[in-house]
Amino acid sequence: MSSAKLPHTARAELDAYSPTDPVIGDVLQRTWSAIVELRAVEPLEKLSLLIMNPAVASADVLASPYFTENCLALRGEMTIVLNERFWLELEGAVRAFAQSESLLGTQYLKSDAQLFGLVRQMQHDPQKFVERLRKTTAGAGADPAAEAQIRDELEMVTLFFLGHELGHLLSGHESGAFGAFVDPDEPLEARMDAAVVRLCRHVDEFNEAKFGLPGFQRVGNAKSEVRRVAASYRARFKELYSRQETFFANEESADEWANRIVIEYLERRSANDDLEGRRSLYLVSRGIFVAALYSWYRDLDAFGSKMEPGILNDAANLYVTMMKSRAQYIHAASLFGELHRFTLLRAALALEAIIRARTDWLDQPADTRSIHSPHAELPPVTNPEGRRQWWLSEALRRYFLVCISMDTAVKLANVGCATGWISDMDRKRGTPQMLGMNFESIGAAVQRLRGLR
Amino acid sequence: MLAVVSGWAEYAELPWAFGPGRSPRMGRPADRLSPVCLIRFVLNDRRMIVLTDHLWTITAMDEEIAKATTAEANEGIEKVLAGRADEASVHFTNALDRVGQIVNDRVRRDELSLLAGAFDHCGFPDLALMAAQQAIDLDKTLGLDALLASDMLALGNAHASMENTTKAEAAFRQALAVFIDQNNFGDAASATTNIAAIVANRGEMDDAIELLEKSLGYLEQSPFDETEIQTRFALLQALEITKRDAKAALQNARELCSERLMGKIPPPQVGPTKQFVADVIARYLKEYPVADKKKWKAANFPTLAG
Repeated sequence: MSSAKLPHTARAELDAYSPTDPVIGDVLQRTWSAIVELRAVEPLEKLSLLIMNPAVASADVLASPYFTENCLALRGEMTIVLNERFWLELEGAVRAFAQSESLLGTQYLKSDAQLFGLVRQMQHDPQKFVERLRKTTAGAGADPAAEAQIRDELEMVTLFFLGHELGHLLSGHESGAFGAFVDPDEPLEARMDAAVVRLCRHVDEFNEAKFGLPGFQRVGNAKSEVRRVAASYRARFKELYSRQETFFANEESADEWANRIVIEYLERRSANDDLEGRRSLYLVSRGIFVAALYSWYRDLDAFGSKMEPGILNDAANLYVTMMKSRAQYIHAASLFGELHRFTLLRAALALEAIIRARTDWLDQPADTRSIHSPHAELPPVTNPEGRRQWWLSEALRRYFLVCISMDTAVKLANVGCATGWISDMDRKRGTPQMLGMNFESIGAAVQRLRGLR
Repeated sequence: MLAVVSGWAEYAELPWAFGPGRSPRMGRPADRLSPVCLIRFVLNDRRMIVLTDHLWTITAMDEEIAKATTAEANEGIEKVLAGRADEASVHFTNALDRVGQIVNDRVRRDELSLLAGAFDHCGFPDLALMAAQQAIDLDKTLGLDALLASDMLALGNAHASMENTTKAEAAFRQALAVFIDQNNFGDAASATTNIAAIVANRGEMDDAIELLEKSLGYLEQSPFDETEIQTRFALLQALEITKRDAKAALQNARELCSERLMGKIPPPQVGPTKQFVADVIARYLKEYPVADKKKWKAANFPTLAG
């Protein structure tokens, strides 16, 4: 999009706006200062960051190309726009999870209901939610070290999101946005052909990243009957499909830039301090993990609120909901971006790239390495090796938990992709057939994580 | 409007009382109170909410807010009982929001303190942490040292639930220092037992045993059966794991299985207790054989006989 097409009044309003919230201001300032120092962004001669607060923005801004649900890059103006409400939710999720230093002690990973509860508390009033959490590191029992660590984590996860937008600018894309969320005000996908085309696209990407579904190999096989039906649907959306392919490719390249930017940033932070490098790896893993898992559950919650009985609170509930009819899997296509890669997949790929770049753990023989640390809690400063082990273990646990948590999405996408073929079979058979798919709760996923070597 | 006065004694007499510090945590749900008790607690007359040994005035508006807070907390508890933790958390955060509107610092502190206990018992240590920290801030502002220690205990419990053991231990130790200073041995025992659990989980069993024995010493001065059960249960495990002093282990097992305590052991804990006691008996009898084991057991463990 060229700058000539952008409304000047909206731009002027955003130029004049700066967040009044001191935490947001501080973290964004630090992130931006870090960004402009990076070698990766040197090719970008001109660069600006605009903050858009939907609560105070004018109707002009909300209707302008500057509007974004999360963040957005506009190459014509070499500008990145960040939605302040999105950032506030990010802060809330980061602070909520930061109440426990270790992954296994995290309250929200005990059950799906706890995670959905977190989403609903936040959605109810994000500002209040965040303010309550901010008090836990302030006041009479102030914990400046904990607050500093939270801000470091926020800086890193903000860098990850902005890094994606920088990736669009560096790749020469006209525009790009990090992702799309399930809009609670929009109806769910109801077109079988569109849903099948979309979900098969995601299945291909999952399979490429080795997130397959045992027993569903045919869904990924381009020559199978399942994919023949899907291909016939795709022919109806030729133009859309080719546009989607371009968008997916753009997103992939922007994601790769984001990874590179985060890795360079981590290299800088640890240039003279190896221990700080390990701590930073831990913090960036925390941030990416929290952002991805929270977003996924928020989308599931919005999705569930539109399905009968209007609420989703655990994996068993999802099992029953999805068994009701074939249409449920068509609706589930709304959980996956039309043009964007799947949130958890991006997080898994990013964490893998970062861990690979910053450690040799993934290259170690499988029988000699472990994701677990002998220390249940961060050892004291007198034990630097113990701290190094603990930080790495916590980063690895988050990476593997994101991978394990892909389970539900992989199942939904595979069954959804096969729904065209399944419906054909239903018609030929002439009798209804139940399809029950077990989903894994977050509690069960954590149990699986505990069992990993 | 004048607040209804309630003495500490009245509060402590409640059969399920979990006065601050009265519910030591051993890292297992068995030692927690059932949510049913909490409903009874929160639904109880507001005299139970306003705990003090002196009078103070409370405005009508504060009282209204306090009632609304209680109503939200009760709705949350109902949801917990219905298995809807997702919805419960929203009600509990609403309760936290409402309590923040109470103008009177002392009333706000008491409500926050109660919410911290309720949240923790309902399985929301994240929210308990927020409530306890706000209560602690007010304790410090108002100079309420004794209550500060109780709230530190609640904070420690919340941290322990989220596996922040260093922070939990620090909170328990801070509380313990105040309890001892005030000759509040019942709560000192709770804090000591909680510290012992953390120390034991670190593998420092000798220190843990010493702390548990110290806790039993405090309980001799200020008996509290629930705390004693948890302390003796922890000691039972610690002595068995270390295979230390069979005589001392047997004596502890005998006390735990006494008429006084056995019936009060929470049901989920009865099975593990019997198992550990059986191990202790086997070890003791190997070291100190007796002619008639059946007769010996009936004499030493009448509650387990038959």
